[in-house]
Amino acid sequence: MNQNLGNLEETILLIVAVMPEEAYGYTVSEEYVKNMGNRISISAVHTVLKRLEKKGLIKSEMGGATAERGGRRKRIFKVTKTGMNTLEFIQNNRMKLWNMMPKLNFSY
Amino acid sequence: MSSQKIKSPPKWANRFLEWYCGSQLLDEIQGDLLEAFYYRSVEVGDTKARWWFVWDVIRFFRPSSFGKRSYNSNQIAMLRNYLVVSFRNFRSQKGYGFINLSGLIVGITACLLITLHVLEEVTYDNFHPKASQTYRVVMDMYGQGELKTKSAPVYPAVGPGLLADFPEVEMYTRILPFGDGVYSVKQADGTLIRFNENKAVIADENFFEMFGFRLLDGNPESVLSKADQIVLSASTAKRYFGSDNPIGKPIFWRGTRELTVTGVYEDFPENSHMQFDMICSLKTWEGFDEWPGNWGWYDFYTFIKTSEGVDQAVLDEKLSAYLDGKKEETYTTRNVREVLWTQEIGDIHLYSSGISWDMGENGGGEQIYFLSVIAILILLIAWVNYVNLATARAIKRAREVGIRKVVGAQKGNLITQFLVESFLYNAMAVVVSVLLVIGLVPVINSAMELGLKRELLYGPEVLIGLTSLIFLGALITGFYPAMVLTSFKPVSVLKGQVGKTGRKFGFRQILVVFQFTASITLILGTFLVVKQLNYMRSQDLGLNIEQTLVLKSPSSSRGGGDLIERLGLFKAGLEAMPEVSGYTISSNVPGVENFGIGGVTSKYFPNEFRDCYRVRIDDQFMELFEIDLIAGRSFSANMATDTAAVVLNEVAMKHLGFQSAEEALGEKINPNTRNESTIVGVVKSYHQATLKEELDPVVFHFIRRASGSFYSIKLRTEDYSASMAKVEAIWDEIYPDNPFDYFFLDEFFDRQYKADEQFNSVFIGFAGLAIFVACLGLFGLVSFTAEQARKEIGIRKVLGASAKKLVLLLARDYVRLILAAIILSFPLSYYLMREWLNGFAYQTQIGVEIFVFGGMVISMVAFVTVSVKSFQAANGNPVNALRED
Repeated sequence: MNQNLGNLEETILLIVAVMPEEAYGYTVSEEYVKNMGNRISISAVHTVLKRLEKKGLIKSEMGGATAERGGRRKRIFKVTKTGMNTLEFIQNNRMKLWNMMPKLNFSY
Repeated sequence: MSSQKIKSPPKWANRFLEWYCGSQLLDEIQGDLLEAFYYRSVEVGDTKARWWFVWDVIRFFRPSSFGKRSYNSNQIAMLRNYLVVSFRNFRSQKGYGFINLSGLIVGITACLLITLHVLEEVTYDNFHPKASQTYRVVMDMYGQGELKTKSAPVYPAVGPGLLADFPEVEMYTRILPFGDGVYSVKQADGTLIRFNENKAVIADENFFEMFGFRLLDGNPESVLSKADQIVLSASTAKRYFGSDNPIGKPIFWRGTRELTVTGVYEDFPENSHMQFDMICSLKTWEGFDEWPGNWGWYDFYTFIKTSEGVDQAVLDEKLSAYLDGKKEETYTTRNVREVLWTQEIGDIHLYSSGISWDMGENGGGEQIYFLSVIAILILLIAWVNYVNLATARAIKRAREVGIRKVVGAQKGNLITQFLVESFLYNAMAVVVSVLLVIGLVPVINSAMELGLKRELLYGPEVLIGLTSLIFLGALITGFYPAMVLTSFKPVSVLKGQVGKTGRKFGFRQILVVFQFTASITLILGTFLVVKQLNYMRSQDLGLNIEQTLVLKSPSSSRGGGDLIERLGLFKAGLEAMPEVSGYTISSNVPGVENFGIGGVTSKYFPNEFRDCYRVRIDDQFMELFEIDLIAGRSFSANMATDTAAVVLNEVAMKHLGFQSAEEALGEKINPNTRNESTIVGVVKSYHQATLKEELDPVVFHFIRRASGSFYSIKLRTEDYSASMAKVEAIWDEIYPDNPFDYFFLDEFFDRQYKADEQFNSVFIGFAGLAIFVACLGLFGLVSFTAEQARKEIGIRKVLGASAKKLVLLLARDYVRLILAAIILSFPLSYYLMREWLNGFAYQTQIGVEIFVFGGMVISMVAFVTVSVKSFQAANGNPVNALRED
């Protein structure tokens, strides 16, 4: 697992993985705002999603259209096996480091 | 559903998105944005959501959103191929490409530079409100049925008269150019700030309503409405008041007259024929009230504004007889007539040549015409270059065309291909030229004292012009080569049977002849311009203006006879200086336009006023300027009767009907009138202005009381700066309230040739460019011929031909073309030279040497161009040429 993931890429990948409903450009950006507290433009989300898909971490398929979207269809993203593995890999490595954290640290 | 209709994102943004967005991506991108807009409009309101939407659309505008457009169109694919092939051709034939491109660049750059100048000249005075309805009223003055003078200023009664008598005249403004003199401002510490002003005028109160000049401070309706009010330009205000606010402060005119500053205006833009430093209210002038009846004093520049839709020709027609009704008696008794007519204010700058007593340097229409012709010629030469080279190269590219034809290209496709290529060249050349012009303008401005403004390039008209220049150039230069190339028959091309067409007198030859005819004409023109300028400068002016320091006489007095008393002191100071060999006082010196003109009668013309210029001089004038006396004597300080004596110049003597100087002596001018004076002397005529002008009739009067406008001091030393410092010290002691304004007369006189000199250097520069471009083309053509004939040369050399013979063989055709061009250009340039010389009163001979010399120069240049390449070809090793194949 030596996929290099940027900070934003990792966050978006996580969001796609944890989203209960359909994950596509607009909903991902809304979810980002909700959880991360700061704004992100839809075009930025699109770029990141495209990049993640290229890296094989997520996959997409065209979904249904709704009236709010002016009859346009959604491109719905799902995390792939590789994506899940990458997330777990990153999380494990982090946990390892966290576990090494001294329980009591007075140096702060 | 209806609520949804209201809440819709900006249509234009949505459409823009649909336009740039790739169709595969439209679903996700537009869908997301619309959905976002839908929810946001609920959350944050409609307006905010709309802005958000627009912002998102802009954020998405990037290459990744464009998607892959599919070009199914064959034509677009071919277009791309044409571009690629053009670039490859340029790369593989760098020499030709370079010659071609640089020719075009030079041509277009020259053309652009001239355009800049022309644009500036034709936009003079176009910024006034309703400029197309604003006219200057001028006057043609006839005597004995022939036109004597065209006068820019007219009578003070003309303005009010026209306003009263013509319903279409809505307003008038008069300008009286008599505000000159010393102005001074007292400072808090008692010192005086003083300047001699020569751009000060007196004007009607509606000046700022009539013209588009901007008042920075003061009320435009009242700044000139009362007597003793004065408005200053921003830079003049700074000179007198520094950073203080000048409004309401006093400024003294000629020491005694107190005026109040009521306003400050922005310095007039350079593209106006009017350039005033200060404007005083007309009511300040004594006798203002009597002017509506004054039909005798014509010193008033009069501008009128008409109502909309008034035709200038109709207006002129009505004006022409206007003065007949006012001055009928004078006209019939004296057999004179005056005719008013109008000039649109924008036309004044270019179309005022021949009008006397004008404001500023007007009348460059001729030069503009010549420059435009040159610009077009250079551009044509550059285009011809392209056509020539492209056609010559066509033979080389015949194989490409052949293959394309075999593969199925239609004639139309091929023509498009070559048009695309010429379009590329032209577009590149225009872009480079624009950059060059932007870079060059400051250099040219400082080198030639011109005021070209590159900002003019950025106007929409110029951009449209440049774009059309590209397309026009592409069409003109691309069409003929395209026709030539596409006419080849594929079979013979592929067999290698093209390029040896034996035509001797083809289109290309005609083009070369045209190029060189134009270049030679320009060269000959250059020689003539230089010769004329030298001729004018070397002519005897009829007087000696060297080593003469001229001071502007003091005008600021303490009242009474103060100035005359002080003049005595000043004279004594000068006499004590060993460096001064003499001094004289006069109302005018050579090189200064003489406004003093009046009618004079004589026994031959008892009832007719003959116009003569008036110059008032003292007893030293003739001697100091070394003006030759033909008969009689000059004035003498010892003769009390000399106040009623005059000296005539030769022209005036003849003008008044006298046959010889001896006959005129002792006769009277203005006999039996109040102004009767005896002619005591006749002098040779001297040139008041440059040799562009005719000699004028001048009547000299004696000034006993010494109140002339100029003090001329003859120095006998070479150390000008030291003696000038001495003179200035004396001046400052005697005239602390008057500025020391001086000039050296020879330099001052020479300055009149500045415009001609500039024209001269511009002409030389562009003639040089034209020749350069033509030679580039010639060089390209010769090198092409040499390459074509490589094998032939090789074989001839192997068989024993000498290098000299080979050069001749190659050069022969071109020599013939150049000769033809020389023969054609001689009569053409002779005609143009005559036209140009007609603008000068004193004309140099056109002379054979100009043609001989010009012909030689062009032959030399052409010969060098041709032989460089021919020698190279003839001296090459024949083995290299023959080994191929």
